[in-house]
Amino acid sequence: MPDKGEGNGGSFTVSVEALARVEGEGGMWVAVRDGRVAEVKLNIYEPPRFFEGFMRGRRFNEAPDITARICGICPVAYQMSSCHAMEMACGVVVDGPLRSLRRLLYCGEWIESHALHVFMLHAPDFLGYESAIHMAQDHPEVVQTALKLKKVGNDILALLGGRAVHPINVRVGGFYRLPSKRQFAALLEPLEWARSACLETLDLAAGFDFPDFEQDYEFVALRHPDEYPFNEGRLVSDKGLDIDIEDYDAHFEEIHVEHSNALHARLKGRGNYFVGPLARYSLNFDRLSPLAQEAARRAGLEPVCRNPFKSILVRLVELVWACDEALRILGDVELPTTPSVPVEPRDGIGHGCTEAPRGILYHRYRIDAEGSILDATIIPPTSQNQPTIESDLARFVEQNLTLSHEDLTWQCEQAIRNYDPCISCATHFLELELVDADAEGD
Amino acid sequence: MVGVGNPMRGDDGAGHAVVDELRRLAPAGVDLTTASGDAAELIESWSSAEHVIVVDASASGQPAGTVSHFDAVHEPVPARMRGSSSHGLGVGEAVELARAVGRLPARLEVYALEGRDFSSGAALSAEVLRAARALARGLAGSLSPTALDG
Repeated sequence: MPDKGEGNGGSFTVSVEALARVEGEGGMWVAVRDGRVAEVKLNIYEPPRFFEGFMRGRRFNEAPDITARICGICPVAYQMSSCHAMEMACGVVVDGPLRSLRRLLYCGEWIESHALHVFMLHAPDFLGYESAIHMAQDHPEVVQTALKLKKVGNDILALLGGRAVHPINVRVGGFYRLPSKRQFAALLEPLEWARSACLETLDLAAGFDFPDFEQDYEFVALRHPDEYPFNEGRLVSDKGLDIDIEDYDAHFEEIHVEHSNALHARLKGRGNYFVGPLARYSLNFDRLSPLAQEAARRAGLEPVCRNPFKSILVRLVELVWACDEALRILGDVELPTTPSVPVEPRDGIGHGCTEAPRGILYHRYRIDAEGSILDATIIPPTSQNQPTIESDLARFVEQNLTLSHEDLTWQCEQAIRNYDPCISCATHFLELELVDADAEGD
Repeated sequence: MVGVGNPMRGDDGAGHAVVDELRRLAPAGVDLTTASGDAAELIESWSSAEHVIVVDASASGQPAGTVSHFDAVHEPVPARMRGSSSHGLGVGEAVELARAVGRLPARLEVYALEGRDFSSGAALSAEVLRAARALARGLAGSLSPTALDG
């Protein structure tokens, strides 16, 4: 590892070849020259998987099952965004109890995904451990709580999704099969425990040391008239964006950079933006349940949080809210009369944008009258956050040049983990440009 | 009996292949399952079992098809079995986490089949397929409920 600083005019690099405690395979590289950050790269070298390419020609109703395979952590997000997009293309709205059950399923995914990140991947940073295993020697109760919380989320997925990993019970129009009321009732007690456990953990985590790192981000999230956002809403930002999801393309663009197998996204004419728990929370604090709002305030959070190191607190607030919301839905659940509504294909374009645990997940499909997919676009949250992660790294290094190389490297990794990046999701696609060498006069 | 891995990543499907073979060969009463390797999922999968056998692929530099076996209750997971999952926490981490929080089963055996090719969409290498079948035959003989009690 290159030395830092001394004797070379304040020029050094901070690099990690393989990032720990993130989903997927990537590294980071920060070059400092004469005391200024000259270059930052979040290297995403996990191979691309071309999902959008092989969606072409498949049936419209295969999209939820195929795209769910993009990620083992947030398959429900892919199922929800693709279902909504296909339903829009076909002119169908899924409402009433079926819509509520979709929200319940999403609660399960948020609970298991946030629990994994908060307790197993992020907490070791604040408690000073290299990994969850090292942390477990001294704090077995943290790992016990994590495993139990994850099981609560998994149980919701297994019940409504058919199985906990890569659920198979979601279809365009609703579900294939519905559980019984008795099965739903079995979720109540574990969820009540989960809500209490998250409240207690939030109170403890509020005492962690957080670097002073407030940034002027442009937060982007869904916003719904009445609800903390999951499946629906307008896309808004704290700097004036307020659009229908159908207008995503007019405001956002994706570009390819050499050091990443995941496309970078940016707001046209404005640049970086930030999606995920911090953005969602800061744009929708007033939509949280009273219990979650109160817990946030008790943890010292303002209604807007601009310090990404505090994302662990915000995820815990969202965990409290997800348990609360699941209990609310279960409290007045009415079983739908049928597990799904009929959806007939028609020639059209559909957009879906839902809030995955890591932020907005946008899907767009064009289908023909027979239901064949003509083209597909999928923009996951980690793609959208890459430029912001790189800009955080640059600013963090510039503000902390006096740290030892070891501490600086450790905290830079932490700055990346703040985003809970899912590299596996981000590399679902890479645009391939084929160049005819002969035509170029080689 | 848990087969761990991702059958869409070439030899990472070794654990699933052993379970597939055992579905034909294993005696009744043996619970056969497959898992992606997520630590929480694994710990949960063995929470109600007394004797658990985990089969996973390894990439330690040995010849493809080499089978390693260790008793995870009485010895730590070898370093080569840790940190190899693309999703952060895998079999090695599951065993050590379970040990730290007192959630290891009474007996936990881990078999590691050395793989050669882990590329997306690849089939099992011939050596790994042969080793998976041989391991399944060997395990089938020892998986009778009586043998398990012992």
